[in-house]
Amino acid sequence: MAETSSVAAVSDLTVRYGTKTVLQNFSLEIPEGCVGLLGPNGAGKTTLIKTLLGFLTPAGGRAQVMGLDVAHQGKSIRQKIGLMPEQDCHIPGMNAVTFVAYAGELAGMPPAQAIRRAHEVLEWCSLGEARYRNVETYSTGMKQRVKLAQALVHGPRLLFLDEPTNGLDPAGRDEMLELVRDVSHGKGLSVVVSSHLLPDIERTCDSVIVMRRGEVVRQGPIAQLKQTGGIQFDVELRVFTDRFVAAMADRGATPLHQLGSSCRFELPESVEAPYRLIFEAALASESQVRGFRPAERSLEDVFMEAVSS
Amino acid sequence: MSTPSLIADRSYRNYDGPMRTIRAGWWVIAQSVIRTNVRKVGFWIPIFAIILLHLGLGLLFYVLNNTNRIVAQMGTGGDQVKNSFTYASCCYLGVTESWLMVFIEALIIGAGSIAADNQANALLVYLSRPLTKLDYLLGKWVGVFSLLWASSALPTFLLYLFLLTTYWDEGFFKNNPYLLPQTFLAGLIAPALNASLMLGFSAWSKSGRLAGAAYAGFYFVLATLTRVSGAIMAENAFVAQDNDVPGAKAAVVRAMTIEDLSVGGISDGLTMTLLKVQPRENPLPLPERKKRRQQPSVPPLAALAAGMLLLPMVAAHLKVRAVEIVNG
Repeated sequence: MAETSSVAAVSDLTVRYGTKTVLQNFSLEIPEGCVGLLGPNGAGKTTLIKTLLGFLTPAGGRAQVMGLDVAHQGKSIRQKIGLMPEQDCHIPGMNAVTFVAYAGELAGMPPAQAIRRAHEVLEWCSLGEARYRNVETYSTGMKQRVKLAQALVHGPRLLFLDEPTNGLDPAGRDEMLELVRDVSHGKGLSVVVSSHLLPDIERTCDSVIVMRRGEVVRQGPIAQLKQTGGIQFDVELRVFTDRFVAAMADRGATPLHQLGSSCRFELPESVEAPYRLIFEAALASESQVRGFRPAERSLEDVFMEAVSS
Repeated sequence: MSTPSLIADRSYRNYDGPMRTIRAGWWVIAQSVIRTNVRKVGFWIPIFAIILLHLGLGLLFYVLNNTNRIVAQMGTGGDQVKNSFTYASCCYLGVTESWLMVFIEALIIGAGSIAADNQANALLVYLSRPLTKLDYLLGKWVGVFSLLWASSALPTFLLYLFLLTTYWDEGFFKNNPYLLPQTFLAGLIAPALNASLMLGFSAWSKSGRLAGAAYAGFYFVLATLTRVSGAIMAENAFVAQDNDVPGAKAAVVRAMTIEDLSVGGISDGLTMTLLKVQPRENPLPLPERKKRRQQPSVPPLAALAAGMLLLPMVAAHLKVRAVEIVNG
């Protein structure tokens, strides 16, 4: 089930809340790296994370995290993972250093290591100045950061981030995404980011899993999912003219849509050098080409197509 | 954040240092409960009151004992005074008369223990670590119990040491060889009951104040009901006993037992039995009915104590979870 390149895998998983089935015979492999978990409300993203953490007991199927069975090795799994939950959470009456160090001790760190590491991750999260303040007095942005710090303190191999930019202003959001991007690339740590915000996912993740009503409807590297079918190019002209479109059509290209001075064309499959075709059309129509590039869809297009299909 | 610095590399590095065994997670929680509470000023106020109570008891025993000796030397019936206040009854009063302070201490340290975690979603932090619900509850219980026990039993132990060192020559240890372990066992009852019940109420609440109010209500309503019903039954049973009615003695024991079927009553009744103390061995001014009090039946009290220890923790185990499960 679990390949070497996947950090978590589930097969035929069924999870119910009382009589309501949220995941039914659900199968999935989460690859290493930074993975975005996308889906509309009620898609089952948070349920999947909570099941992998052992918070919910599945009604059927199997789940593994880093090769360990969720049903029987929950403690070992939770020692190797970190969770940044969606909602505010802290230990009442503690300042940030005590809280993060305590979280480390709970994960099994020796007290001296936990306190040293707490200072380190709080500094990294830009909470160095405020680390001796009670967490209850923190702003929303600071609470998000301290949640990230407590999830990272024990050096997890897999990090679950549930809506990491929830409630943050643009500057705070920007900083949080930078932290996520930093921690998830080249640090030997895999990250699963669950979010509704597609730009956040696009900025931090390498691949995505799109869920809808308890099913995986799209999965793969973002760059691959954004690719369009066929050979499509976006061409930007100095001034848009119908003559250029006609010249492209004469050469077998089909105009798809136009926005301002930019136009997307689908080129014939037989074209070996698309740039030559574009330049020939520009020459023939006496148009000035400012630039062109292979066309790609936005992540929003991919998402909308996936959840509406 | 990973901002470049000329003097230090502050980029993120993953931790790869030593990790302890994950079996003793409950002890980390218990230590935290202890550390957090000993910093509260409110925690020390009941302890101060308990220490004062024990100082008073020690002083009272010392004065009564000396008075008894002087009266005995004068030959005017000092033995009567001596018999009314034994070493065991002094320790018994030390354990039982601090009930109110132990109860208040339980409210101070236990009411918010789980309720505040519920309110702050702290269970997500605890249960996303290598801990089970049992580890969490055991840690909380051990933390609260240790503090309650230390605040009530240590002054009693000091009282015992005072009696031991002061009356060694009068055969204190020779006549009471098991008083220390008996007092130790008796000192566990009230802290254990209060810790379990308080945590049970706390687990089902999202506010420490609400949990404290609910427990206080439970504590005093149960105490009032059992005291009143036990007293009415005892009144009738004593009349029957005075008139030599058959079965009156059993009715008295039954009434005494019912009177003790509360948190404080269990502690009082079991301590009395453990230390083999008679109610009349009390130097404090008590109404005649209290002086006639007898030892209750132990099995019902022990069964209720076991229930009060276990049921709240079972209830807490059912309630404590990292996520709300909404039955759809």
